[in-house]
Amino acid sequence: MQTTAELSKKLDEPLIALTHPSGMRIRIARKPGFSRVHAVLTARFGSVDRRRENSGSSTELPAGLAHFLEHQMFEDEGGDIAARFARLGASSNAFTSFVNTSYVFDASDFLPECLDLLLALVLRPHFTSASVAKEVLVIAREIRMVEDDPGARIFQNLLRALYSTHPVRVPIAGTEASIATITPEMLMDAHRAFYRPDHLALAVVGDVDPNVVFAAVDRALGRETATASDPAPSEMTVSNDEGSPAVAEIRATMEVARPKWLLGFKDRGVPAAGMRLLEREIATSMLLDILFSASSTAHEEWLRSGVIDDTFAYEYTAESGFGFLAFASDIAEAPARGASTRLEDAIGREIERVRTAGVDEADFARIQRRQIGRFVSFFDHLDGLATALSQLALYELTPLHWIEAARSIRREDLEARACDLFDRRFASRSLVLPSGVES
Amino acid sequence: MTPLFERHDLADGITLYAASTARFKSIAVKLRFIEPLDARAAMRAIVVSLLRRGCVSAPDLMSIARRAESLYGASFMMDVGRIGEMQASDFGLQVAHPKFLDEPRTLVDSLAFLRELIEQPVLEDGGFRAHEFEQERSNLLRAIAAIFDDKASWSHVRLIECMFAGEPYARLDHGTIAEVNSLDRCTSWSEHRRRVRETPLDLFAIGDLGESRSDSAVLDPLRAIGEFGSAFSARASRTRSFEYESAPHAPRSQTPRQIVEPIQAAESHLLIGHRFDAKSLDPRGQLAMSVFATMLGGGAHSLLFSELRERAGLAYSTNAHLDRVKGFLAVYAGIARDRFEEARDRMRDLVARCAKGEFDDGTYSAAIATLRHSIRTALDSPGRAIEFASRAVATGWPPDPVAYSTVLDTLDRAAVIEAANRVREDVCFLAAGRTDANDRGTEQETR
Repeated sequence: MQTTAELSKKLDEPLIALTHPSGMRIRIARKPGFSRVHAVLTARFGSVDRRRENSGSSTELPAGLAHFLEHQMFEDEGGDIAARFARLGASSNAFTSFVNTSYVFDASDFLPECLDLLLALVLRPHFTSASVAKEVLVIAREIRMVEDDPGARIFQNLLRALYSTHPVRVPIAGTEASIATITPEMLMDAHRAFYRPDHLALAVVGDVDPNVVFAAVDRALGRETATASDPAPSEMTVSNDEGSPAVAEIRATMEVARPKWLLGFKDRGVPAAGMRLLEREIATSMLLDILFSASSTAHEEWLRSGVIDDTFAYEYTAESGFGFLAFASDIAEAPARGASTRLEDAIGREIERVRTAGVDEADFARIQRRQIGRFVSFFDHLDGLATALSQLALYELTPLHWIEAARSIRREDLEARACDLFDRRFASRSLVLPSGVES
Repeated sequence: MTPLFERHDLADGITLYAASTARFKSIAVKLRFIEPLDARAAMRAIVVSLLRRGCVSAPDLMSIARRAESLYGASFMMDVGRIGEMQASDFGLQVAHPKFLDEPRTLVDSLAFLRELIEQPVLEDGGFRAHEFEQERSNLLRAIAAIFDDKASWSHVRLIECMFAGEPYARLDHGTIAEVNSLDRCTSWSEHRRRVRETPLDLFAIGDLGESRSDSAVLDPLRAIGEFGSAFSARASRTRSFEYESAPHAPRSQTPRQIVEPIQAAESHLLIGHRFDAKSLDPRGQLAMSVFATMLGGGAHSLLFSELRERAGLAYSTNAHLDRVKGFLAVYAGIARDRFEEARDRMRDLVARCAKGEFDDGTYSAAIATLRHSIRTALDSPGRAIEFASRAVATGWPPDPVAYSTVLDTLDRAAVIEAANRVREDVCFLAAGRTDANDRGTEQETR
């Protein structure tokens, strides 16, 4: 098998990585011959950042603040910034996750103008009472729309069941009550604390001249370095909620065709950042694919015997210091309250099997091979590449570290994960049942 | 440099559109059959699902998945979709280019495997296997029922059912529940065999297909697809067995119908469906209609977004959906039930103002720029390029972005006003959420 360095050389994907004197990280992946340029500017501020400590004082932030800020950043004195992107033929968007907020544009012309707009959007806040009041209405509609979505509702309930105090248990958009408390001053304060250049990473992917990108950043931030008079970096504190789940099970009723089921395991000891977090994420995903993907023996048996159908899925999430695994499926009928399903029992048996017998060597090699192929194809997706470059840059990593991590992981690492991840003492269940079914 | 799809007539009724470019790390391929969206839609949908379940050398899902993993994570995609009143059955493949891997046969083996999946499913007593057939029938029925779970998508489906009742267009992509229930495994297999032998096949490929097209190690396997269907007995001639007929384009009644259906949800979903005569539109008229739809609901610059969301705070989600082939334009907003009339009137007003030319140059030029960007970047990812080319071919356009750009350059405001005057409101549909939006249904916790 070729080495990571050999593969990197063959891929011929030159990556420019530097840090602007202001502290902003810049990543550029040149793609000669492409018409499209995709840029992502990420701020290290997400929904779980609910408290900040500065100069000895501690401020609690309302749920949904990072997401509200994302919405409001698109407004300035001149009106809606998205409309200005559109006039340049570019599309713009933004999304808030548990730990980050990313602002993006996709353009094929007017690159300097688009970069100026993106940087202005993120660096020059403009909040008014009127715009905040209007946004409360819009986000309230968004919250209700998400609540109507059975997939989102069951997932939010799972996190609420798994965690007692960690802010991940509250929806990213917050609640109607929490967003009603947000003021322009609060937004300005959060922007000052969390959108500092050294908390930002810009990634640009496409047929771009790097000097155009550097010049745009210089125009936006000047050449001055951060000085001692700048406010101290804010500390984003999240609670350490690694104990027993808040509740064992949450059942909701909605207008759905079939009962929906989710089983979650809370991960513990998740690293805060860096290569160790990446390795944990990849090792866990590889283990889950070996045990439960369509190529696994268990999946084939369960499909054949009707334990699962095509709605079965699983996903592992690991972020700064917290992580969880979720299994999902539609089920034929709701189990008695607190009782496990056939699928749940089958998952338990499979976990016991791998703990005893270990991970099969051929399975491990096959999944590792797939990771490499997927990694090569990933470079064809400009938007995914730009997003990954930007978000990983905040932790001084690049997508090349993925392949390094995938190659460094050993079978024993997966077996160790099998022993510590699937602990029933840290598991909760979430169900959505059709209206009319006894909850 | 932008790659170009070149046409190769491989065999009677089999056409290859291939674009060679070294810019991608992977190669993407798609085989497409186009047939009428008729009573056999459900059969085609179940066939696609069954072909994913096993072939002679990989008889179950596990073996297929393992083969794909061994081919460095090659992706095999099979699905049905619609283009106007036509149903497309797509069989796709994306695989990392062999030049980046240790194994030079990855593409050849992947193509051979894709072909085997389509031509050599595991059979039992002259049909698809009974157990798999019944499982896939259940999956299809569940997928149809599950449309109801997503109220925004369900509202769109209901609008189409109300507007196009009695027309092929009203049929779901996967057919109706009755059609799925009436399927049998032997007829489904014989129908698939017939289709593979007789239906014209379009083949699309993009990636580094080699410098020399004549003896390329990469392109040759694609040419071999010219023998497609040879696994079956005597080949019939591949001719299109139907003529595409556009159904009536005029609304059913002189006054638009208003339909309100209750749903148990906090959010209400408002859709206003319009018809227009798609057949009467030349290429310029078609793109003018796209500009009109983009102005209405094509993103953050659109009239729906700026008027309903940004100005009135009435909605979070707004959009416009255009089907240029059928002649269908729908505008959408997710709203509070008690603001239905206000939202409906504002949406109608936006359409009426466009027809009178009452839109500013900024809105117009943003829509033009958005479409221009979309055309320019159509070939910037393997998947998107294949989607662009296959849609262009199915709708009578050359698979070349320049063809679209050239027409777009001829447009002006007058053409868009003309497009806006061609649409006629047919149905205003409201999926009416709960009056008490705070009612979240029951929720119980077990400690």
